[in-house]
Amino acid sequence: MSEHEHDENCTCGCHGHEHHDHEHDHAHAHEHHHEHDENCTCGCHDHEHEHHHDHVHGRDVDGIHIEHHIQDEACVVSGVMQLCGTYEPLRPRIAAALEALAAEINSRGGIVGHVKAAAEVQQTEMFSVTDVKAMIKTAPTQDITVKMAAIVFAIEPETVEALVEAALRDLRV
Amino acid sequence: MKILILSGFLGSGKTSALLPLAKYMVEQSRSERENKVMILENEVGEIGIDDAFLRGGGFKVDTLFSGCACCTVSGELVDSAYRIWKEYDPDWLILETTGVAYPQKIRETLKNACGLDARIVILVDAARWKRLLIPMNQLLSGQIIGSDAVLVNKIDLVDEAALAAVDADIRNFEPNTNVFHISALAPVAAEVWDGVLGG
Repeated sequence: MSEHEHDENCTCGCHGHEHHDHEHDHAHAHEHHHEHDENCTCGCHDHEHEHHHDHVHGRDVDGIHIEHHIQDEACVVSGVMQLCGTYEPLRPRIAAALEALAAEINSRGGIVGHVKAAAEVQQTEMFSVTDVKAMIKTAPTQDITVKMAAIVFAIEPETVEALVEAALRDLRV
Repeated sequence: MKILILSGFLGSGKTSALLPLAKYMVEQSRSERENKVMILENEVGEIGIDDAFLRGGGFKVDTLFSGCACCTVSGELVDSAYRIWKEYDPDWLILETTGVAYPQKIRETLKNACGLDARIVILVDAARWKRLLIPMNQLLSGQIIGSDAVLVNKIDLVDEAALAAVDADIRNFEPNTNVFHISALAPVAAEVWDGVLGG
């Protein structure tokens, strides 16, 4: 992923958004090729604590809302999608999607802080009385809102956004 | 109103621990207040995930989005805490921070702005501790220093030696904190919750 020097002459285009501490992004670009484990000596974790916050970058694509911002070197990506369907078969697929997302982030040299999702399910039933007896009708599908969040380190936000967007999109299939 | 700041690194189990803790607080309460425990949730993202889960547990939840209560939303934090105090005056307000927060700063903010004292309890992920200790050293130590209690979570996923190492690291950061071991596989003992609450 990082095969060139991200210095002041860099034109790779993956630094298109404002950072409060530009040097950190160069350091993180070099982290992508090694494991940040207990033996890590890359030295890019030893710095004075200051809070760095980026503006929220959001977009909507095919009914999926995705946004990201940077907070203290953590890349925070949030995504929301709504779909109609049946929740029970979707449930294990959401779990599998999160596992795959975390694995992909790790394989690209990132550090997973937390990858999580919430599913909010609305089942509508209609009740009707015209004479004596109440009729109850259940809508054939459920309205499901899936929210996904990935808080990760040492990986480009655009990469994480693309991964979260793909994870949500795959749930529609 | 007493305040408990529940903090700890991302994925350490804060939200999972919060519900049983809040339920214990309600059970132990002898007050007549309608809202014995309220929750102020600081979500690091723009979209609420944890707050919906907590509301499903039957608690009133206020949420601060997209920012860290240490600074970016510190004004909102103070306003929310003050409003909850004046409007509801619960026995306890639990403030669940983001996983990248420094809880001492939040305690100072609440004290300086409202004169409210707070206890700090930190959740630690025993299973990931060793892997995160170097890359996240500043954050992990900064969260534990000044804490009143540390809950070492996910102890079912590590052996005794690893657990002892985690305990030693915690005591190295903060010798004065109370350390407890918990796991999602077993209910938390009342003595642990009492230790967290300062009882």
